[in-house]
Amino acid sequence: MSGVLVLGPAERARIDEAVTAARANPMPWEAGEMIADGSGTTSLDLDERKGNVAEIRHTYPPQHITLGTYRIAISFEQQPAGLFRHLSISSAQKGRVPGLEVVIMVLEAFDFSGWPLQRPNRTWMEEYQPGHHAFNVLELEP
Amino acid sequence: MSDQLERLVKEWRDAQKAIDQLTPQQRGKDSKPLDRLIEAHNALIKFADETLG
Repeated sequence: MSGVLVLGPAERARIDEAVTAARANPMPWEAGEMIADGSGTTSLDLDERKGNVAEIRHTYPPQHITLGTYRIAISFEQQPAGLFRHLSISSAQKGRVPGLEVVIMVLEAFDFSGWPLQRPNRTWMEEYQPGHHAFNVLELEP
Repeated sequence: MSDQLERLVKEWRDAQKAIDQLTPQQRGKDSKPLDRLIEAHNALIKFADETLG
C-alpha cells in the first residue's frame, strides 16, 4: 500500500453528486472522436495524445473528487455503441499509480459492473501531467 | 488504522466539509478553508510517502 483511500458515507454522497453532474453533460461523439485513440493501446503518454484534449475537456469537463491521496475524474461519453462511463484514477504522489485493490474499491463506489468489468469496456494508463499517470476505465452503461 | 492516520483522515474530512459548506463567492473571499484542505491533503501524502512506503 502506498496511498490513503478515504471512502465513507460523506465521500459516497460527494460521488453521487459528481456522477449526477457528469451525466448531465456527456461528451458527444463528434467531440470524442477527435481525441479518441483508435490504436487499442493500453498506455498513452502526453506526447501521444491526439487532438486538443484540453480544449474538449474544458467544454465537457469531468467532475473531480479527491479521496484521500487519490484523485478521481468521472465523466460520460457518447460513442457509437452507446453511453460510456469514464473514470480516471491517479495518485497525488508523483510517480505512483493506484494499486488494483484501490481501483476495485473505487470502481464499486462509482457503480461500475465490478472487476473484471462485465460490460463492453476499455482500460488504459494515461499520462495527464508530466510524471502523473492515471488508470482509465471506460464502460458501456446498461 | 493508526492513531496518527486517524487524526490525519479526520482533519482531511473536516477540512473538506468546511469547503463544501461555502458558496463559490465565499471561497473566493477567504482562502483559509482551501489552505487548510491543501495542508490536510499534503499531510496525508507525507504520511503515505514516509509510513506506507
